[in-house]
Amino acid sequence: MSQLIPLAFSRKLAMHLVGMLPLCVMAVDFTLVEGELPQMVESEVEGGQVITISGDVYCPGLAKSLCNVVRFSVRFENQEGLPVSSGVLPEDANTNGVFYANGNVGPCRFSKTVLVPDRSIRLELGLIPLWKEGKCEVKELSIDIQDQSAFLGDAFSPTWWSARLRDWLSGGLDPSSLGFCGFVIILLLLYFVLPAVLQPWILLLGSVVFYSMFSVKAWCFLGASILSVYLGGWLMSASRIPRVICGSVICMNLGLLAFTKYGTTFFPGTSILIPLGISFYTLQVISYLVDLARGEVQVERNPFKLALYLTYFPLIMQGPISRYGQLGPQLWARHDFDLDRIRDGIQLALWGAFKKMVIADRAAIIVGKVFAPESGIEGLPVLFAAVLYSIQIYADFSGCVDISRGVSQCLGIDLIRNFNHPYFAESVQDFWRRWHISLSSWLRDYVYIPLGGNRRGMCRKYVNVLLVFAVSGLWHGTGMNFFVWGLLHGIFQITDVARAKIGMFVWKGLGMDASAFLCRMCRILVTFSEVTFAWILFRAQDYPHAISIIKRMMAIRPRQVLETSWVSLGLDRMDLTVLLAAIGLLLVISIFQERKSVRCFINNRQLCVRWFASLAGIVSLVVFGMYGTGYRPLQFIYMQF
Amino acid sequence: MVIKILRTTAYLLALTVVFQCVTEVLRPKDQSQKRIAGFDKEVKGSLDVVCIGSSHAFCTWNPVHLYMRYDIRSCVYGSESQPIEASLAFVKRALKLHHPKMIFLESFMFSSATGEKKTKTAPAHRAIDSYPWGKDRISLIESMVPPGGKAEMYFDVRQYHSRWKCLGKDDFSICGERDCCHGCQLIGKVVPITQYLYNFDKIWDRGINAYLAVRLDQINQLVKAHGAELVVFTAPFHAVMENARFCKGLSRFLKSRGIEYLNFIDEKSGLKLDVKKDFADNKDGHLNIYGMEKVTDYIGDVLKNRHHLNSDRRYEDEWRDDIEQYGKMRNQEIAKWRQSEEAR
Repeated sequence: MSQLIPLAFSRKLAMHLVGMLPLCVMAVDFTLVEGELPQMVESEVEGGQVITISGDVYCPGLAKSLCNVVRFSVRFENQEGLPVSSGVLPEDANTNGVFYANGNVGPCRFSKTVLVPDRSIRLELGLIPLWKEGKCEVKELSIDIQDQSAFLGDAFSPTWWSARLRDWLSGGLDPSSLGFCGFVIILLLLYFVLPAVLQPWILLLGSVVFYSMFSVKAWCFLGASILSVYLGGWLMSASRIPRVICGSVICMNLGLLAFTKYGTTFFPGTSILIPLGISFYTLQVISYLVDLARGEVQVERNPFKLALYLTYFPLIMQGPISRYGQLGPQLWARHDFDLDRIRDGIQLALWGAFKKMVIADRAAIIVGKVFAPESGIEGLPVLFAAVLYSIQIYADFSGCVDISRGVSQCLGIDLIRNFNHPYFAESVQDFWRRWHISLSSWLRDYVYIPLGGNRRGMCRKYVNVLLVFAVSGLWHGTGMNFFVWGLLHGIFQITDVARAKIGMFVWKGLGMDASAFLCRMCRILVTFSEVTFAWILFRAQDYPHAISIIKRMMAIRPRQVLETSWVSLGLDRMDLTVLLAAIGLLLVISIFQERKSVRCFINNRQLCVRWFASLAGIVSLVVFGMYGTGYRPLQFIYMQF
Repeated sequence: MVIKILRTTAYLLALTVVFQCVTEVLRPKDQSQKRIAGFDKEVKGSLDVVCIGSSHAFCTWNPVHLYMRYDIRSCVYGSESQPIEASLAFVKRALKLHHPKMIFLESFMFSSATGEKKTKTAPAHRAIDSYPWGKDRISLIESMVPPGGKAEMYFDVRQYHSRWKCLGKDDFSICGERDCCHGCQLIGKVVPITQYLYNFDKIWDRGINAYLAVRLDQINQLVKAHGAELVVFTAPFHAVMENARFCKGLSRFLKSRGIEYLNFIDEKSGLKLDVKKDFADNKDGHLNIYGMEKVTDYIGDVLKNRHHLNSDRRYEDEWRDDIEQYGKMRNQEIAKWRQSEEAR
């Protein structure tokens, strides 16, 4: 039919591609024409290997009506360029195959596993058109040659380990995943077994590996931030205009943040990589530079210390946003092995995992179903879903932060507490002293106070509050709904004062003390309602969606309590029971924690009680957690920021 | 410090035990799992022959019937849609525990052996869940399961934890019972099929995949190293032409390796089943009790006359009890099918 001719690829490129593990992707444009010579790719191989050759071919020009067949052939050659038999006849059956390439349905996959014959050093993969007429323009051809030999042998052989490591490193690590547990265990072992002087370097290496698992390309942005902060610090200490330099570096980093977050809004159709954690580490960059300008910290001359501060892996995804003065010295200090501290850290991390996997991911099913634009659900179920979302976002975010704090505690590093039972707040102002404490304190210190705070009169104070929360909204997301969410919180803060006065008037009229339990409960409920209402904007896909949810929620009918089938909202009866029980447990523990540490309480009990509590917690996490086959793992909510 | 370390170690042991118990309770105890777990209940070193393979193995080979007629002790050790990687691991285990004289390997899933790790979750779990922990289990997981699905295999509680909603009394019986059928499945149903035999003189050789060739070589070397003999067989099933072409290639390959091959879809095999009475379904064409006994008789003749396998009359008491139980189950199964037919 046809003879084989080489492709446009050079032999050197092909050899380089085979040297890469495991994926080698080539984007190719060429034309296959019936009657002409087939296209070919070369690759170096070793006799005895078992390799899987797979790939995708996209031929957009092929019409649906033709029976479009592309045949691929695999041929082995020895050093003299002579063909070598695969040893399992007939050869066609072993090494050739056909697949149907219909251009109208997208790329077509082909795959073949072959045993490389002894004495082979080269593989040629050819594509041969078999259709009757017309041309086929091949838009993409990606080839993946994987050596399967590692899996033919026994476990724990050297090739087995390299294949295992390759699989493990091929994706990012979710903090609630087993991979993350394995990563932390290995890091802890290295951290405490190797000499203490190496501890910061182990942390740095671990953070680099962790970040690289998500994306290697994102290092351009993070590397630029680290370099800018390091050089900026140097220049600030040596220059007479430190504030100008500080401002320039901050603008540069804010520019990067704005470009990645808002780039697609202003340049629609483009695809811009959003580096993991850019919103969080940018704020850390700003806090370091401003603290440096204010003289609150000394300039850091060791670039690795700054790099570790910005890349420290428990923080990079969701914070808390730490100040250099608080975190920096801890990262570079030596930490002794302390079993009690590690135990406490693990307990905290498990509690975080419980909140995420048992409460947040379960609540998300109902919220997702009810809030969906096409659900058509109205009234009480929407209100129920709104309340559940408040619980979901708290359990999700605080869960992740607890996992981060727990892991850090195992390493001997204390991170600031980011939540203080925010739904027990008696005003929206109090709420922001308890919710995402690191962000609200950052906004206070680096936006609100520089704007003048409350020192320039009442009107200016209110304007500053609105500006701060507008910034907070924009930091969270690019949509109008986030901006309105931020403004709403600003308005709630402003109206807090009036609300407090009205409340005092009402309690006085009723002859009640404002600090009485009932009065406090009313204030807590009102604050919770305001915050829950605002969360609707946060959760919605966009502003019109938020308005439609609010309208649907307003359509409450009195009899809905009896009419609504609560188990039709996405969870069956048993899952709903578990969810409500878990929320009840969260409430009880939160109330308890207002007065005393639950961990200290349990740790002071007898051994059998401690063990029972711990084992019961782990078993309930294992049994009731939403994970594994059949569950779509839900990303941590704040990871998207 | 020492006390703390000891306490921590004790805690970790307690955690492991609790975790294993929870996993065991949550793991499904269906017929398939019981059948595979039954292999562990066989008296060590008591088996002369082990049959390994997919559902066609345990619907074709009847160990109790074989013992009753030929005094040969055997067991079927297999799972539904069992891939060849699992068969290799099962062969290893069978050789280690029983040192059988022969291994019979059933070939239905051989044509799917491509090395591309496309084993579906359910067959993978059936094969892996009951396999004891060790290097072989890890090799099995790594060779069979694609990267995204390995966590479920290492920690099968990830697959089964949602079963807490439907736990029954059976789930709390961890010890398990001895399988009186020794791994085979009795089906009383009778479903006619069209044909299953082919004239292999007129069929062209499709060849076999190189990956399969490597795996079969590994199994053969393993069996030989233990001083046993390997026989590959293709059970009678509702074969199509493509299956027959594959068997032709398989036959040629096995011949080149000196491995005996019994091809029950070959007209010239010497075994003739009744397509109207001996099959239990017309999809894959598994055999029912009647077909299974006929094939077992044939294999018994091969073992006695060709391989001169003789009994040493050990473990008679255990097998006598099994025969009694088996007899009851066989009659129950046949009666059940007859009743359902009459009800229709």
